[in-house]
Amino acid sequence: MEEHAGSLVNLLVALEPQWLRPYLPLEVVTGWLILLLVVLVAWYSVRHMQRVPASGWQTLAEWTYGLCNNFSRQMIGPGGERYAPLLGTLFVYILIMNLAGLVPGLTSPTATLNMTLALALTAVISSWVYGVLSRGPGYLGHFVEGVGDAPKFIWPLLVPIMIIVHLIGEFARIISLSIRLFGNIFAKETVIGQVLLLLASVLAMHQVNLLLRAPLVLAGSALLHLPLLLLGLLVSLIQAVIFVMLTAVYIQGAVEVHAE
Amino acid sequence: MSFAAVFAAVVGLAVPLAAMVGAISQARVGASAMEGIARQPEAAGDISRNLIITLALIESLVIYALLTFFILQGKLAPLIDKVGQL
Repeated sequence: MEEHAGSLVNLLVALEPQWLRPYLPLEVVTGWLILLLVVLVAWYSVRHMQRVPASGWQTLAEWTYGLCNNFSRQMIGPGGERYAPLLGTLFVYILIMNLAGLVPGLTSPTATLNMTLALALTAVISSWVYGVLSRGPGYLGHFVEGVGDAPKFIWPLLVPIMIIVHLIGEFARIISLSIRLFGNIFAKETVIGQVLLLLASVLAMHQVNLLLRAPLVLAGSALLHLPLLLLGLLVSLIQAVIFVMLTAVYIQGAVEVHAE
Repeated sequence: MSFAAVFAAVVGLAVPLAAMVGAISQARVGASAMEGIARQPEAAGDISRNLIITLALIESLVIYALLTFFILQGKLAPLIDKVGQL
């Protein structure tokens, strides 16, 4: 897969210093910048907090905090606030990373499998860790959950199979989380990039009169580019929500208390 | 029929086939969700949440097909160069 497909979108990609690319790809640097941006906004929002929010930043921070807490409590159950930091961070970070591809000059870090694989690993491994933390090492007995119903003589055959099946299921979660996010955002960027290339190639036809080219390109932008940008907005938001929702479901499956 | 011709045809058909089956299954899920909401409007929030999750899971299968397309499409041009003509 072409590594630069995301940056095909950026007509300003020449701004990226080429000597940097082998060491620090644009996607990684964009990820860092987004991280810095989110931390700065968060720090600035809660400086000089007052009981009645005096600044719009504090209201935004409170709203985000309430959103993350309500979502965690709704998806995971009464003790869900413990996991709100992880879920909230994932949501804000993934959402802004997805949206970064729509900004001229930037490319979505999540349009690379590296980034989405890292996020998916974080999500799934944290579900394991939370499972062990909240249920003790007995969480690993979760692997062989369905075996109690079978007659005892078949256990030596069933238990290894159940363990293998469960492990494959966990790896499938990692792969599906990462590829879902990567595929959606990469496809969005590629499609927008191809449409831009098409419009740019129309604009570059020297044989045709400029008075003929310009309205054509403008009409093409309005009819092709704008709907695709709106669709990109929708997809970015939905994919961030889906990622966090699935992470919450995995965590809920790991920490649920069985009714004894 | 040369290998390159069949390969090119299959590469083109990957996403449309997946999208067709994906669209049918998503339509079924959406229809049953609408019925559920019509039957019990107060459960609309719960049903919508589960609907979105299910739609995304089905859509991810279509995205796998898209990724396969991208991988194969990269190999298509060198293959055609090597074979000389389709």
